[in-house]
Amino acid sequence: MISFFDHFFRLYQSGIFIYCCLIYAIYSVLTLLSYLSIVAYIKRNKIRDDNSLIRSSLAPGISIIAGAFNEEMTIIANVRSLLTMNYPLFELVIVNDGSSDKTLDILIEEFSLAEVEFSYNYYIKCNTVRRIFRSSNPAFANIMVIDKLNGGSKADAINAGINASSYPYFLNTDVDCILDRDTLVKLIQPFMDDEKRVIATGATLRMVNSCIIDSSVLVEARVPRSILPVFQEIEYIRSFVLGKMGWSILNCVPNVSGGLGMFDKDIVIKSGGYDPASFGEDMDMLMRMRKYMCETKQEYAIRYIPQSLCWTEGPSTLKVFMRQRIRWGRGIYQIFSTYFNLMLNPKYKTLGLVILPYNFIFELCAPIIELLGIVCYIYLIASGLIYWPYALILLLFVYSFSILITILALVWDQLMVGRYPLKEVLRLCGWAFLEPVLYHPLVMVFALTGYVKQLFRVKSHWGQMERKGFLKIPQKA
Amino acid sequence: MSPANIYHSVKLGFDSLHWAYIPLFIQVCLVISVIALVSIIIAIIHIAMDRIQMRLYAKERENISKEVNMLLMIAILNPENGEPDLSFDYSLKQFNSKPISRTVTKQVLVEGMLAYRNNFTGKIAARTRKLYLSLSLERDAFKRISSRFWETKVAALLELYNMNVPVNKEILLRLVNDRNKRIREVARLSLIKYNDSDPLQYLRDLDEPLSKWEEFEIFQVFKRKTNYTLSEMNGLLSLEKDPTVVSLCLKLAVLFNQQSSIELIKTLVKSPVIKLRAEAIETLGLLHATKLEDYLVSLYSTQPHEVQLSILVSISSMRTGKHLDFIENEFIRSNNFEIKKYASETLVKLYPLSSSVIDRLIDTSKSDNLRMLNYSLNPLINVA
Repeated sequence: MISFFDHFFRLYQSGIFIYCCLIYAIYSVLTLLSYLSIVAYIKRNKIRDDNSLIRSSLAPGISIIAGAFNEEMTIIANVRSLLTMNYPLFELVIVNDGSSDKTLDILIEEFSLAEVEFSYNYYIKCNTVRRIFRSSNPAFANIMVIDKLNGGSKADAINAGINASSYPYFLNTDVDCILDRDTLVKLIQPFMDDEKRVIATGATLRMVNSCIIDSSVLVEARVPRSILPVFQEIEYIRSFVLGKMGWSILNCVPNVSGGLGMFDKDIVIKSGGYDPASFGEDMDMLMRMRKYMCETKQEYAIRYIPQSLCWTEGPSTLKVFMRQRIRWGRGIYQIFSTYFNLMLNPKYKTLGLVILPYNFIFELCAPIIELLGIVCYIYLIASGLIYWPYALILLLFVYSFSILITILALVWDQLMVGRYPLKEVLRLCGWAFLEPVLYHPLVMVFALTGYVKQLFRVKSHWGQMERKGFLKIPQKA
Repeated sequence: MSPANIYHSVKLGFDSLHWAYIPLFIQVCLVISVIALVSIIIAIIHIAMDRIQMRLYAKERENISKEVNMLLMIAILNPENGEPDLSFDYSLKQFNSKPISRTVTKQVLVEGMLAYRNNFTGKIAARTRKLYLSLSLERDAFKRISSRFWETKVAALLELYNMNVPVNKEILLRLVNDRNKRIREVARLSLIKYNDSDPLQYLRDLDEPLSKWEEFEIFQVFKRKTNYTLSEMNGLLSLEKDPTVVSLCLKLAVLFNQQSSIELIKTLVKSPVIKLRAEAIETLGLLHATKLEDYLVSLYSTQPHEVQLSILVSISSMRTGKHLDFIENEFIRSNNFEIKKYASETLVKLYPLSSSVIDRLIDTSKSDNLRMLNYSLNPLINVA
């Protein structure tokens, strides 16, 4: 019996080692590809003059759609900041998602909104739209506010916004995200420039937690001071700059973040829009968009650009962070229970042959394999079967390679305009050494919790993000 | 296993370790770990060195920029002279006393001049160009056209393009067949810009799709041509041509109000590409091809949804008021939301010709139809 367990654990160890080597091999390839992708983007960007698009009468219109739920403290500043976008033709669609505070009243007063008889069509299902407002002030002619019943999720709010929007492209963002002024001009470029039909684009998100903000405009970028947001910043840089840029060059981007993404409205509507019941609604919608394009035999691309265009507040308490990660865990589990039948199906090309298998093996299964690996390790220690020199060498291998990938992501991030001062970047490098030890176990545990909750259909809801607000420019006395 | 035991067993293990007896995979892991650790250190040093270098470079550029901008301001914006003030010593020798390269100085100078060219027209733009030529800065750009790096070639071509310095046609014709798409684009743009007799020939010769971006750029070039009459678009407004090229030509037809192209555009109404068909029909509306209004209405019932919408848009552009009954009928009877919406918007756009129809519909319509009419009539709502 003991011999059976020994054999089993030895076999399992070898399996884990091979799994680990595969992940690192893939990440090594992604590192190289992301470098090539970023360099290609920088070269292309140098020769493309944004002003050509801004001055052109042919520039396509873009709808910025943002859901708002109980945002009375910051809504005016947020909306004003969204209105500063450097683009010739856009509208701002704010969806008041059944706020119980004074969000709507504040908007009405500030922007001289008047209720209009709007001929609204439910292209995508969403909860009832009660009223629609437009501004009687010509300065705010491009604002539309939709007042609807709460649909229980951001997805429902965005669907309501899509139904009312006028333009062929829309930007999905959160109303409290700080966007760069050139967000629209940068994100629309791949749609205008690519040989294939681009159906979605995304860009890098950063943490705004310790940045200096003035009237919802970023004045000074700073690395977060609190421990959780710092680790999230590192994770985002690795995920966006390294992961998504690498996948972008292969046209295998698995997900365009819900915090910032630009989409082809026509394809979104034909794919059914966002699913309010999904915990990973952004990834879910992208799966359906890809599926639709494959089924209708259309060539398409999903592109990422390496610029930091959106600054968002990350959870700074463990409770809120846990809620977020559990939701993400549930989301990814849900994705695979919905789209498992597409896996390894050549009809779905990169979706079936690359994206789904990769995410299944190396994203969904990773926390499970890690947990079993830790259990295996503990067993080997407890039973005295561990040979410490080899175990420590393997641990060093795993640790050093993880850090290397993270540091390289930070190096690639510097290829774009370095927002942070050198001291801040070196701080991030320092925190990268602690990430695998302090942060990664939390991510693993919360992801597994998400899987279990989804498996047993434990009821959950989005919850309210606790906002600490932004640091403001200190006023002189 | 106590910590002390663990420590002893680790120490014993490492003491007895011999490279030759370590399994291959452990050897590989060890080597990779060492490489990783060294790479981490190099990467962090690289970040630090790179940022320091960038800061120094940025500081140098800032200093040069101040001087260059001052010189440019005096030379170009000097209100007393009609010509750039060449009494100043623009020789780059004056910058040689500082520890900076001539390349950086030239770069800053050219960038400054390009900013003037892009933001000013008329005398200021002309003076900037003259200054550029007086300083022989175009020689550098011409040299860079022969670079083996595509981005250098493209940057050089764009510099000359923005400075309105013509490039030899033979060079451009060679570049228009280059392997690199960006080089082909910029070369084509330059050819179109400098050829006033028949710029469209470069679109006729085109056998690849145009990106939307290139469409913007070419459209801008045509928009800026002065005293130019668009030549006939035979061979361009044709079903054989790539849809992206045809789409651009339709926009040019509208820009130059080329009535003679109406018959050619009519043939595009039979295009198998739905989007192109719709665009052709909308173009007929913008060109006020009122003689074809009856023809378009006769096609309506056999067309796909997108084309039907474009027919409604076209009718609203033509503003004859001949088919009010047809539009009213579509508004009342159609079950499709978009058809109804476009029909109601068409009626509003045809006001005052459609005033009696609108009044009648307001009196007789029920909830959804009435809401749609009020929506279209509301000036606060953007009509698509």
